[in-house]
Amino acid sequence: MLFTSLEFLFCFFPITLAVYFILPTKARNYWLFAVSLLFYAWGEPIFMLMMLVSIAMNYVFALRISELDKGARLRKFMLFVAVAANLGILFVYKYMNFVTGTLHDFFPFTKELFGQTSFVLPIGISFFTFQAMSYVIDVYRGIPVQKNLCYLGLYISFFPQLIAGPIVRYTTIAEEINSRTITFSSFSKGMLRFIYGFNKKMLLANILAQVADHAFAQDELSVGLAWLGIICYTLQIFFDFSGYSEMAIGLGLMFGFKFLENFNYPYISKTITEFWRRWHISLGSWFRDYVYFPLGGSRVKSKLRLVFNLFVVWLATGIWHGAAWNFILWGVLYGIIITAEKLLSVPQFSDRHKLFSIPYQIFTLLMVMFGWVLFRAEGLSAAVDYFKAMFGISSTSLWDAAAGFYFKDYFVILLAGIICSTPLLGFCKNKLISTGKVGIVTADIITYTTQTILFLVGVSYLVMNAHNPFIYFNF
Amino acid sequence: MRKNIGIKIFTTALIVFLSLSSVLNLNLLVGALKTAREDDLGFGELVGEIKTSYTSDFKSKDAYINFNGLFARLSGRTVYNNVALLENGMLVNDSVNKSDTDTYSKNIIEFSEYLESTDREFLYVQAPYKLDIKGELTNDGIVNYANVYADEMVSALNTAKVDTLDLRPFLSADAKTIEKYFYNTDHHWNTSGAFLGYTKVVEKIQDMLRLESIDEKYTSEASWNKKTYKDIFLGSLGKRVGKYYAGVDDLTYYYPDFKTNMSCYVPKHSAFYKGDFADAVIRKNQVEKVDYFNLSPYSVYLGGDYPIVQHRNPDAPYNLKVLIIRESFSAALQSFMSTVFSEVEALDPRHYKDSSIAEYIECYNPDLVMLMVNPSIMGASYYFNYGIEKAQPFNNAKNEVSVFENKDIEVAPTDSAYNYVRVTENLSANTKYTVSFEDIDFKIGKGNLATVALFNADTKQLVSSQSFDIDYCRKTDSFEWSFITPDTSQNFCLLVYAGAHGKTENKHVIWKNCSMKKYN
Repeated sequence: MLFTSLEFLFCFFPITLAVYFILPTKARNYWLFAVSLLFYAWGEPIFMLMMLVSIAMNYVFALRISELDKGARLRKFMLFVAVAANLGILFVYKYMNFVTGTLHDFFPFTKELFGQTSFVLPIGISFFTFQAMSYVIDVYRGIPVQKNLCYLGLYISFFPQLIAGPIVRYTTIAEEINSRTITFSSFSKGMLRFIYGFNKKMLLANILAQVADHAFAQDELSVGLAWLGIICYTLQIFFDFSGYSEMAIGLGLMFGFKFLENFNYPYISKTITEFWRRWHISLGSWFRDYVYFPLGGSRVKSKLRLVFNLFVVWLATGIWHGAAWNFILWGVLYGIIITAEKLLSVPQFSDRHKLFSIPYQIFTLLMVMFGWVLFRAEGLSAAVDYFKAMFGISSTSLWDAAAGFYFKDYFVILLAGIICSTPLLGFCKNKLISTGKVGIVTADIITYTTQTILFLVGVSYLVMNAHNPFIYFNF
Repeated sequence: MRKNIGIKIFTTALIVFLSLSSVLNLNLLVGALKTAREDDLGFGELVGEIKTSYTSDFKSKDAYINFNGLFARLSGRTVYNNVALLENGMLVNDSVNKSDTDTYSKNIIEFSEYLESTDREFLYVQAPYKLDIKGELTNDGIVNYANVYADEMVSALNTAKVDTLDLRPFLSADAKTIEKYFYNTDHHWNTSGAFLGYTKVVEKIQDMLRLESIDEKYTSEASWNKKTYKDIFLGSLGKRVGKYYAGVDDLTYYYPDFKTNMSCYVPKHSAFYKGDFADAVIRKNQVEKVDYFNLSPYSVYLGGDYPIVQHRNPDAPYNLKVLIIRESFSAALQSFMSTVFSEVEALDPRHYKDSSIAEYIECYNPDLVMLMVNPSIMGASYYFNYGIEKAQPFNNAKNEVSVFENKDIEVAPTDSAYNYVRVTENLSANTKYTVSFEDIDFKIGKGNLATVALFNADTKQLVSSQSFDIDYCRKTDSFEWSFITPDTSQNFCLLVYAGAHGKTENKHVIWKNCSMKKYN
């Protein structure tokens, strides 16, 4: 089920909320667990069974690990089995066909030995698998285990963040699972966050997607349209993903859970290193805490080891995003740039030298956009063709009627998207308030009225039956 | 406290909105659950049922569409939801389906040759389009090939010397002309455009058949009254973007200022309209109130699109049978044509599936067949497939064999609305028959319509039927119906009703001097 659907907004969510607040406190977690399973089964009922298997499996692993003495070899072995089992499920559903396909391409004789599976990729498997794994690893590291199977199930399957994140650590909500308070104020904040996210998705991401989709669908395009397409995609993926995360955070707040932020205006980053501290923060921190640090992080003796550690993390990041060579290349390229930034101390140099920092900031944004070409294109070959068009190597012209049309027709949304991808609006609002030009109440009234109107516009798009799945559903 | 009051009001308002909307639409969930239980649907099917219900039947959908269009307009969108907004404020399709004009023009040429071989005339009418561009582009970068396809079609037919009338130079030569003859928010021409089209069609037919000229009242706007309804029509394109995107249209319908006596029969609904022009063809229920999304004032002529519509006019200046292979542009045009031609029948290939077009022609036997297609639907193959090979055998079957001759058929009264007599049984399969009568005598009761039908006694289904406008048939001596039996070995019978099908209660009817022939 999508948050941005009529049946969610006007059926599932109101009923879930109403019953939640009617039920006694003790029953609420069970209710949320049940509706989360229903939410997941909505897409494909068989996926729910897989989810239950994952919950049960990780429950048993964590319980067993917690019962064993710290330092016991069996404890470490159980952790290994748990991680292997989780990654195994992920591999089978998400990566097996890619691996077998690649083997078939390079070693044709393997076609006789094994074929491809017909498994359908369960929605959000990468998210909840990593979430479940982090719980087991954290139990291994010493956090108290969750003995209530349904409570653990709630943590893994909680519908706000189940299928597109943020990847929530168990410690973030451990206390709230057992006891949480919801005030009208916190509920209101949650509602506001949800509306922000909804509006971003419906009015920015979905509309800019039309330009990006058109550009990436062309066999031939002008330089102008190629650049317009990737700019729109850059904004689309940000608003799509961050919009979903905001909706998840907002929904969590409404039920009394405080999730951590997942985006922090990534496109104002001065370096690629900074970009990955602002983009999909929960994933970056997951790899940092569960892969990079265990490998030694930056506190290793040799630069070669540092490079290796970074390579592993970024290769894994690319692989996490998709079972295709362009995702792997995307991850590796980020790894190369971040490694270079680390070895050359670029972030520190950039902080001290303004003349360098501005061009490098532009370079950072360009690199991010080039990365999105790899992300969006239907394979490596298509990505190469798109790059060629961007740089005039195979484009029809510098600017054409199609580029002119899309620029003109989508200008307002494009401008809104560029502004909203920066902290400018918030800065202006705070400046107006701090200088006394606008009162807080007036500023709030304008904000809430605008967001409400935009929300109704977003609902009108749903009514018009626009097709609007989330990009990151594929992960 | 004051700081937080804004967010609390905001939250309360949203809760109220979500709650109200949820409650108002709860019936959709209940309905879906009910359907799932009754039809024993699985979980996946139930999910689909709920999704479909919410997207198609959501309350206040129209208001949301209008609001959405307003936002699109304010945000500067000129192409939205497959609708393009032109500089003059008119709406047009942003693109049209690809047309295989090469194949379609060949089919039309073959069709016209077939008709010529059967002593029937053929006229291709190229309906106009809302764009005057001869090239590809509309609003910079949007490609609409409608006129390109129309050009290709007209050129191919002219080369093959098929009688062709291109209405585009008269109705869509430039933006000003288009503004005059087309609705802003609909893809159709307005009534003024349809009337001009009708006059050009009549001129062309007069020229083709060397007809004598007729009283100019028929084709002069001055002899026609106009009734206008302001701001009543949100057209097909407007319905996609709401009324705030490009406004709404006025609607005007024309009806003659001179005396008329005609009928219009829609077999699909057994609906018979008889009287003057307005009684026969104007459907005032489409313009009696303003309902932008649920009514279509464009359908003020005839009420909609049907497989077959039969117009009869005993007082028409031309005693000719015209068959129009039509689409929605024909609604007003065929109605106007029914004032000058004694019989106008319109077959809509989108809806008519009982036989091929050529087989229908074989039975109806028109003097002239007119095909009119507008450029936006030239990708629709059903306008260009005629089933000539199916009709050819019946055309070749010239040997007449009498089934029965000169007999009176009496239908005694009953209280059934579908009272009939079986006249013959076990008709030969895949055979053309013609049944004719001298008159219909109502011994008890009255009626202005009488039905004969081909009935499948094995499946108990009506195969086809004809309802005669008795008044018209008496004046023109045309109580005759041809039909083709299906190509299956079943018991096909001819039925004769005590008046109109569905309205035969307590009527006593004698069909006088009936004969039936078959053709080998």
